[in-house]
Amino acid sequence: MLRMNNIVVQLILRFLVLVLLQVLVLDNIELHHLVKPVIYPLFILLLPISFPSWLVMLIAMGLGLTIDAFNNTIGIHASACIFMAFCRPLFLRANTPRGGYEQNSFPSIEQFGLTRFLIYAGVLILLFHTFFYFVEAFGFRFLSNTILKIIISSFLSLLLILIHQMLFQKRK
Amino acid sequence: MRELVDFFVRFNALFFFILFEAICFFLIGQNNTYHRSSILNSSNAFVGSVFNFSNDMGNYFHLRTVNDSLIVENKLLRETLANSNINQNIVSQIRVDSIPVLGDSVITKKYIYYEASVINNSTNQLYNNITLNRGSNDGIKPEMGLVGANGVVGIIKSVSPNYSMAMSLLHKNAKISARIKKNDYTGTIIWNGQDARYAELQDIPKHVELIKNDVITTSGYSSIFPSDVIIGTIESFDLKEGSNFYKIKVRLASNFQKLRYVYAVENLNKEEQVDLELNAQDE
Repeated sequence: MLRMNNIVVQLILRFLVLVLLQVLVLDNIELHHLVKPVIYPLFILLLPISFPSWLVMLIAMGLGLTIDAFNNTIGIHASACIFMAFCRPLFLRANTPRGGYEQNSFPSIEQFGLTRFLIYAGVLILLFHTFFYFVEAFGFRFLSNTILKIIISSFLSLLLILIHQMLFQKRK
Repeated sequence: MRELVDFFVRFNALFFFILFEAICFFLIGQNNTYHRSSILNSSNAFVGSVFNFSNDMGNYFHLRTVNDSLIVENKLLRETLANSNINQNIVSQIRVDSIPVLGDSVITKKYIYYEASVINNSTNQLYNNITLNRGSNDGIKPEMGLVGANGVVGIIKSVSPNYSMAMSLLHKNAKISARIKKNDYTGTIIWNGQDARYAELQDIPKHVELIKNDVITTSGYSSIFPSDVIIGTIESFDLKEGSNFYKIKVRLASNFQKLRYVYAVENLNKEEQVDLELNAQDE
């Protein structure tokens, strides 16, 4: 029970840190209109593996709506987050180690190793951006622009997430 | 049996996925309507205060540029004031001669400007919005025009007591009635969702003569902006084969990436104009 509380506190802290980092720092970086890196999907990537998928999706929706409130884009970030949360179990299942996951473990670099974490995070981030930019454009009017945005922003976001993980996951 | 359970678990996730996405798309759909009162945007008190806090922290770094822009604006206003003095002399002369040709309409105040500082702003999305540190307590109302030191910036969309949120000109749904200053042809300014420095002017027929750097201003037809507020200058234009209208690229006068202070414009005769136009349509 104590352990569970620990996890909840840790999650709330991570939620606040990632949301503030996104809203106050990353959203103010305006290098080019094609570049819009995000880091907050990391929160969904790092949710404990034992969480049922409906809970992950519900949390993803809450996270997305929070970001949306700051960006005045109600529903767009949220829908992409939910999509990512929906796809997450497919990759977790494919990556299951022999004997199953440990209790309360979460998908980190230590758990997966760098390469597998990169694939896991990379594919989900790419899916997130694809969904996000197509919902944002709401059609194919800006197709070439949208595809460029997806590729560039996915790459940068993945880079940010890796840096963040390297910096803050070395406790053990 | 096990497979059945597996199937149900998977179906379960799909069910929740569809449900949550449906909620999101409902919200997105609502957000696209022009009139709305959503609590989940940056005019919300909590979000507004977070932006206000971060803006307070960052403000000092921009003091120099803000100062410079204010000096430039001041100079411009002094020039206009000097010119308008001459006009007022003429008006008073006419009055002395007891010919009330221009009458009270010249003197009547039609627009009120409210100053506000930008506490959040984006330029790299398809739907860019601006959050201001003034709200309904300060007299800001939805559908007021937003004008920066250099030109048109956006339209107020929703207000809370202390904050307000405006649709930037750099918004996929933004449409502003515009006019070419030198020959009074009117068209519509839209943003093509790409570069924050340029917008597009539509509906200018092909017989109009254009040159680069022609000034584009607001038309004053809508009840939102006063007329002759600068929007930008013509950067380039081209005429597609078989098309009757130009495709005009407009360099925007406002630098949207450096917005600090803006003015919300209230049209005091707005209701009268809107009512009149609606009534005329009904008949």
